[in-house]
Parts: sequence; structure tokens; C-alpha cells
Amino acid sequence: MSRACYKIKGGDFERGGTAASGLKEALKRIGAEPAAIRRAVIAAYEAEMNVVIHAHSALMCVRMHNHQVDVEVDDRGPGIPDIELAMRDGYSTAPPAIRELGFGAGMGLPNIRKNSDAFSIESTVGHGTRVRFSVTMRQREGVRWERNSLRIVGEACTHCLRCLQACPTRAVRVHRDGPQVLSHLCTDCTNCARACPSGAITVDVPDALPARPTGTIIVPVAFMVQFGDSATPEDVVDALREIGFGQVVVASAARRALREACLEWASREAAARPVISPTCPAVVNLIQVRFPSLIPHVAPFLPPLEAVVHSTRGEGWFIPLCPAHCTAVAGAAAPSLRLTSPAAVRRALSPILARTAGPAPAPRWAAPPHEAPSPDVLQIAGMHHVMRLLDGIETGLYGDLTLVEPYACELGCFGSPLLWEDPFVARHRWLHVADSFRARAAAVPRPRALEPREGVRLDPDMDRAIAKLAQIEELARSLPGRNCGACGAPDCTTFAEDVVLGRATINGCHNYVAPREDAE
Amino acid sequence: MKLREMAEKLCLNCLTPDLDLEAGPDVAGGHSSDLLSDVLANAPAGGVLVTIQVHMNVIAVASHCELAAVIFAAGRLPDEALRRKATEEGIALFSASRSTFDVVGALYAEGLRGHVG
Amino acid sequence: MRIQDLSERIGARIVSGEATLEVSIDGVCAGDRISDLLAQASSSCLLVTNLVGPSLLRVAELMDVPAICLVGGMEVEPVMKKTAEQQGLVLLVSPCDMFETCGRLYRALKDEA
Repeated sequence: MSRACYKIKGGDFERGGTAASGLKEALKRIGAEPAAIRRAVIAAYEAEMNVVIHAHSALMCVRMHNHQVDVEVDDRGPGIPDIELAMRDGYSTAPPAIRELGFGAGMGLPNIRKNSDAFSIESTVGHGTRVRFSVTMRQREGVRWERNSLRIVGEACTHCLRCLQACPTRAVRVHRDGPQVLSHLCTDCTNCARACPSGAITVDVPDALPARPTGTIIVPVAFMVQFGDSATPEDVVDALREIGFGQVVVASAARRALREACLEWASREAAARPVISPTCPAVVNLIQVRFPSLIPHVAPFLPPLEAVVHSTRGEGWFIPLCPAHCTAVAGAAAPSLRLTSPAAVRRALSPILARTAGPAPAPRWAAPPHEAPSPDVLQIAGMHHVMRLLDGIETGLYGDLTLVEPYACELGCFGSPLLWEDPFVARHRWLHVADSFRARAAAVPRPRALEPREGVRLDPDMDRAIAKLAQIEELARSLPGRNCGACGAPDCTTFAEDVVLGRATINGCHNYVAPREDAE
Repeated sequence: MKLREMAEKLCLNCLTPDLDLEAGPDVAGGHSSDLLSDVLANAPAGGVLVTIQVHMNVIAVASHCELAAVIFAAGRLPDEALRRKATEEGIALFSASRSTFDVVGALYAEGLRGHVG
Repeated sequence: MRIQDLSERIGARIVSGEATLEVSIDGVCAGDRISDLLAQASSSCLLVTNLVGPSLLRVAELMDVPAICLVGGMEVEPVMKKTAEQQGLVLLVSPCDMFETCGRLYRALKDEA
């Protein structure tokens, strides 16, 4: 149970409502569902303003326990002679000056009762009034996620702290023995790996490829255009066959199919617009962790590479372009699927492609490529832009958009940290040849609905989350607020959270310890 | 537009049955506010007020401004004493279940105007 | 309908929140009673009111209201403007009174629908 008290001063219209604001913030962080937050906040604000209008002073005590918030407002004031009358809609004793401020419509007490699940009032004339109410609340659901596909090499870390600021979900910490990634917050977006200049954070992809591989290989589109100006995608397919693969499946058809399925989905009456294409698995992770309210906007299909894995029944080889691909495939329960890094395949293909290299072919396809910008589709890339976009959708902006295709990496998969060709060049090449890959595919419906993840919630148990919230706030107040990163957390509030959740000790903050030593 | 026509077009519920809704001139304009000082200062004579304020003082103010009628929006209902007073003062009262915004919008569509700055 | 378009339709002046004029509004909540505004307000509505002052901004904050339209060509005090900016709230001032402003808004929203 957590308890917070707010002093309310009669006649103070400037500050009236601060208690209700405080309550709102706290309820959000313990993960209460939005409808319950709204009811509790309306009731608390009415109670607070009753004190401001009628009483001398009061104490508002808020107790949060499991699935319920109790508020008690105990005022010193004139009291209410006839409670029954005061509870009637429209009855008010407020003076005209107060009415001109918008209060005193005689709706305060009835409004509190209407928005709470339990309500009581007692009053002594000449002494004061005590209003108590409770609102029950369910917890927003969320599952814990413990998987990601980053490889940490602690010895390589130079403690430059660039990764701390790069992470959009504040999942990275840097300790003495190198970086640590909190997997329940990680979205596999690779921002930290990109920011890392020393190779302490990289993507965890098996490098091995046998001398004579067999079976099917699933190849992402961007891989096809990584071999300079002379090797066409057809050459790459031929080379893959030559080193042993029986069948080469390029994921372009799946991308096209997903785009078409999303547009069809967006045209339905029931779709939450803008529809978000699940084309990038890292962005889907981000939505589950940070923007669970947007899950209904995500079109119910698998990302292209997962769709291909699904349709090949999870057998053969697969070239992932990012940790989110690796994590998704690992989660797809395809034990006979084997992963190999783009670099390993490049090493196997290089001798063959060097041999076949001829003069640069002229672009052969004049028709506009299918994956080029379309008026109905907004393509957006880079975590920074994607976060802003999702924030905007959450606050109701962008009602004019039909379909958005957000990618974590700049220029989408062409900007994968595992590829070597410049993303702009690679994408340009692909746009010239895309139409030659005309294979058909169908979008694969997502077998299970997306679940919100626990993400920033402090504890799966609401009661304990409440207690932790109180501790974090108290501790954060005594920290310097410089966000220097010396403790290994991206900012002071996050550090306070780490301490309370047992991920760090208070000694980690030099500025916090120093004054105590002085005192001794 | 007479009051009767207005009441019929907006499906208003008349709270002062003793008054003749055909008598008097056409409704002169509209005003909407829940602040009595604002009504006092700005409401047009011969106009109609849309409010959710059901306080007795509404009638005193309406009478002072020589309003033709008051519409209580959002299902607000004044008590019996207020209705009696309004009948005595010759101010027609109506109630509407729709919100202030919807009632004003409908009156506007019927050609009533407010004060243009 | 975007706040930007609505504000143009009613000839309102934009006092704060120019960054969020793209927000879409699907309803209007008009009134001068705080309790009434609390009950009706939502994260996709525009508040139209004769009120000014801290309580109004508090209601907007508590109910996640994206925009407020003041009426009657009211002058906005610098303190209120500053608070609105901090909250990321769009503050409009209509030159017309509440009746005329609501009438025009109603027509604009209806034209769109």
C-alpha cells in the first residue's frame, strides 16, 4: 500500500487541482487502466475544488492498494447543514463570484459519487466535512519479455556512454564490466549497436556456414543488392545455387503481399487508422513495450521474413538482417531453421561473383517499382522519427494517414547494421530491379494477437508497483538531476528506478554519496 | 421564427405551458453562457439563451435583458419555483436533452446568430 | 477535423500551441461549468468557454484535452499563455461570442461529415 497526502488551501484557485494532477501521474505509472484513471481524477478534482471554494484548509490522503484507490478529504470549514440537500444535482451554496469562475453548479458532490465505487460523507456544522471515496481499477495487462539478440562483449567497452543516450526505451546500462541491456525494455532496434564505436554491443548472429550447404535459403531483399554495380540480383541467386542451396526464396514477394494486405485492411470500416504495417519487427516490439495502446492499429499480419519462414514450414537457412529478425525467428518455434550472418554468406559468394563480374548492366525495368513511395503509404524510418510518429498517433494526430510503414533502421532494411553497402545506393539499385521479382505470395495472418508487454510497469503486482513508485519519487528528489551517466543509467530518474528495483545500489551515484561523507 | 416554430424544429420540451408561444415578435438572436454576468452584459433583447445554469437568478437576469426564452441544455431541469417565476415574467422556458453545443448548432442552422466580433 | 482548419473556419486567433495544430478534433464541448466540462471533455475534443484562469487549464490537463477556444476576442494574460505552452495545449481566441462560435463550429463539423 502506498499513501500520499496533499495539503489543500481554501481560496487558492491558482494551485487548486495539483493534488488531482499528482494522482493522475501516479495511477499511470502503476499501470491502471485509462477509464479508471479518468473516474478517479474527476472525483479527486471535484473534492479538491470543494475545499478551495468552501473550506479553510484540508488534507487529501490518497491510498493506493491492490486494484483500488481510496481518497479521503478531511476539511476544516463551515460544514454542511443538510447533506441530503447538498447531494442533490444542481444544489449549491456557492456565492456568485465563485459561480463566475465556473464552479458552484451544484454538481460537485453528485459528480464524486457518480465517478466512484464507494462514497461517504460526514459533516459537523462549524467544524468541517469529511468526504471519502474509492475507485476500483483493473491493471492494464502486460507480459514479461526476456528475449533479445544483442551480443555484449564487456571487455571491448570503453565506457564512452554513447549507447545510454542512443536507446529509445532506456534499456541500456553501463557498468564497470561493460554494457548491460535490460531485455524486457529492449526492442532489438540496434540503436545502441550503431552508437557503439568499440564493438562492445553487436548483433548476435551465428557466423557459421558449412562448405556445401543444402536445402532452402530465405534471403531478405536488401541482401540482393550488396554486391556492387556488376552483380545483379539474378547473379546473386545463381551464386547461392552454385554453393549448394537447392532453392532461393527472396522475401520481396512477401513484402509486396504485406503492403497489399495492409492497404486492404486499412480500407475496412473497423480498422483503427492510421493502420501501422508490421513490416519491421523492431517497431512491433516497440509498440508492445512503449505504445501498447496502439496495438489495435497494427495490421494483423506477420512481418515479411517471418511470413516466409512460416510458409517454408521453418526449414532450411535464413539470413537475418537485424537482432529483431533473430529474436522473431527464435520465437517462431522453428527448430530446424538455421541462421547465418550476411557476412558469412558474403564470404562464400565473393569468389563466384568475382568470377562472373562483367560490365555494369543498364537498368532494364522502366516501370515504376512496386515498393516506391505511394500516396496511400507513409514510409518512415529511424527510431527517432518512429517514436515521434507513434507518440503522435497516440495523441490523436495523423488522422489523415491511411497506412504507415515504420522501420527502425534508416531506409528500412537497406540500413541494417549487418550490411556493408551504403543504404541509399542499395535501395536505389533495388528500386531498379524490384519488378523482376514477380513471384506471388500471400500475407500470413498473425497466428496469435500481439500482447502488450510489461515494459515500463514497475511490478506485475499493482500493490508492489505502488510502493515502488513512492520510493522512486522520493529517491529521485535527493539525486542531483544532472543526468551525467556516471552511475551507468541514462538519467537520474532511471537510476532511482534501478535502485528501487534492485538493479543498482545508491553508491553508484557519486554525487549522492559525497554529502553524506562530509557530514561524518 | 416564432418560439413555437423553434420549439418544434429542435424538439424542445416546453416548461412554461401557460405562455403563448405564437405571441410576440420573431426570436431576435441567440446567446449562450453559464455565467450570469456575461448574460447580463451581452445577451440580446428578444433573443434566446442556451445554458445549463438552473439557478433562480437566471430568470432575474433574463428578465433584465428582456430575453424571449431560455433553453436549458444537457437535460438540466429547473425547479418549480423557477418555472413559476418565469411564467410571471413572461419568459418561455424549454429543456433539451442535447448538449449546449448541439442546441446552439441547431439554432444557428435555423438562422439565429450571436454577436460577431 | 484538424484544429488548424477549424480555427480558420471560425476566424480564430492562435495564441499558443502552433506545433500541435495538426491534432484532429471530433467533437466540441461548450460550457462554463467546470463540472460539466470535466464530464464531457475528452482527448479529442475542443473546449469552448467563457471561462479564463487556472482552473480551465487544469481541466484541460486532467482530461488530456488538446485545445481550448476562448470567445469574445478575449485578451489572454501572459501567465495563461505560458502555462498553455508548457502543457502543449492549443489556445485559440474567437472574435465572436460563444453562440456564434459554436454555431460556426457546428456547421464546419457538419459540412465535413
